[in-house]
Amino acid sequence: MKPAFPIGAIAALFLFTIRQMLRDAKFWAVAAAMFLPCALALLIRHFHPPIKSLDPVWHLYHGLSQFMFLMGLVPLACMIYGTGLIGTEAESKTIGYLITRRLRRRTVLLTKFAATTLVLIVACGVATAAIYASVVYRLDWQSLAPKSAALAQWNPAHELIVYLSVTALGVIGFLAIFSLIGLLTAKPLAMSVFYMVVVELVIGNLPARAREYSLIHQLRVSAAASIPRLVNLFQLPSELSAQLFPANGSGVPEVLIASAVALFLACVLVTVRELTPSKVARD
Amino acid sequence: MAVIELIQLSKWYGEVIGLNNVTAEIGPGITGLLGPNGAGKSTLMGLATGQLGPSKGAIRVFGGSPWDNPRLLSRIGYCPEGDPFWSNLTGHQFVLFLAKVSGLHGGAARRAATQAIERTGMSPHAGRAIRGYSKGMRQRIKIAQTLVHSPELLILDEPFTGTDPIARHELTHLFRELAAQGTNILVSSHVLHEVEALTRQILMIDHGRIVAQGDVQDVRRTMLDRPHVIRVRVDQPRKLASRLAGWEMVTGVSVPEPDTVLFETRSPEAAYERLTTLILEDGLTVREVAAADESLEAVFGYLTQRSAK
Repeated sequence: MKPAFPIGAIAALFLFTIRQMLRDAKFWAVAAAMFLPCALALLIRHFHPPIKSLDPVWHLYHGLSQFMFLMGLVPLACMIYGTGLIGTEAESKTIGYLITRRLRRRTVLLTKFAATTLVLIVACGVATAAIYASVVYRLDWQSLAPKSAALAQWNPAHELIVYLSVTALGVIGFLAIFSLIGLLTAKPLAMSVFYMVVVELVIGNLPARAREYSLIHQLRVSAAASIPRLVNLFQLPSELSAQLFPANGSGVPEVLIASAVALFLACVLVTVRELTPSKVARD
Repeated sequence: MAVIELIQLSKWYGEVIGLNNVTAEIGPGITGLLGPNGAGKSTLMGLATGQLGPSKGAIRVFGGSPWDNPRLLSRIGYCPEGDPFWSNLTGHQFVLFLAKVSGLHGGAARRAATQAIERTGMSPHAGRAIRGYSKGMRQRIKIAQTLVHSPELLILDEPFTGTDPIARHELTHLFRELAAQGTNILVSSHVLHEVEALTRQILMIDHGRIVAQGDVQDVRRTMLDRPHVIRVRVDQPRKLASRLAGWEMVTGVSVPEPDTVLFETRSPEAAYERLTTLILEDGLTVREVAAADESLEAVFGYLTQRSAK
């Protein structure tokens, strides 16, 4: 009698998904793109006059981490992989092998989601660390120390851990949302771009409560909750700053709840929908 | 007990009908699923493997619904049509992965994969990437993954496509061997004589409807409105042809080869009886008397033509 919970089959699919991702040129293209902020930081550092205070370092570090990486590259990577989580298999018709075996459809989805999340978190984590390393690379700490009282209060390791955590949270959230979009529509990439522009970039930056429905806003909140300096870092008008980084809330439960809801809906869709295009099914 | 039951089963894609109110039972053993392109064969196989859901009616495999039913699906081996592959895998990796996804562990999965590959004659090529396989090799490695978890029912969509005559012969032998061991097989094919070599149990569909089901000879006998063609290999074909032409029950006579007479009749039983008498009376030397059109091609052609009318 085969076990009711097919742990071996799940493990096989989990490892297989990771292996296939790593063997795909697309992954290395995405991974290379992840290092664009790092390359940009090195370029700026190279052409920038010698750094005399910590402010430009912080601006560069948090600017690249927040705006280029977390709000740009992480959603982009998640869009590429989330929308194709099941769609790629359906398109190549290999999904037929997976859903006619020991695994429930939702188990296939969740296993592939978990494996993809893990790979992207590791890739994004390395890139996050690389941003930090490229910003502080060959920084003259000795010359900065006497001029900046803030240096004593700066805990770069803590900030790096915060960014790693927020990035991981972002990967989970965006991947869940895009996985759902991938199952909702026949044109998932177009729909995902629409979602990014309307929900994340427009609504997410509106000075209204509606922005709380955007993941980017919640990720910003979660970063600010652990790095209070962020609120005033960019010397924005105080009202705007308060809107962008509200003091209340951590953003974490909001992102996790949104991810859980998106995944639940994706599981429902993958269970009730045919995953083979009808033109493929007819002979 | 039926292995697959179709209960008023319909499947449509928008306005296109895949299957149209089909009720049938597919029994144990090997059943050939026949029909022209677009007849609904792959739709039926998609429904039987739980990849497609019925628009109306129901399908039961081993008494249960196959949709998202892993316990039932683990009793089925499915060989899809076409080339759905993770082509960067080697043949062995492909079969081993699907063995594991079928619930086999470690050593058991490896043994099962090796055995399935051996049975399909792919052992010498198992270490090569699938992307470098010929069409025939791809077919065989797909069949290997179908067998890897020792399913009770094989659903094979066009398994002979692209295979060379030797591979076809070997696969036919393998399927017969599996059937003899108790495995049920539903096999679709356009290569009708290969299905005929495999089984006489057929299910013919066209435009989403079943046009015939059962033993190919029984099916043929039900077609009373079409003349039966009888072939006689005889030493004096012209003499026989002229005698047959005078019979009221004969609707056509020809001599296609120097030693062969073909004649059509709507009363085959009576024709056989009278032919025996004629042969004896005229002292003809007969080497063969046989129905010329009980092959699947003939039955298939006739039934789909009738269905179209």
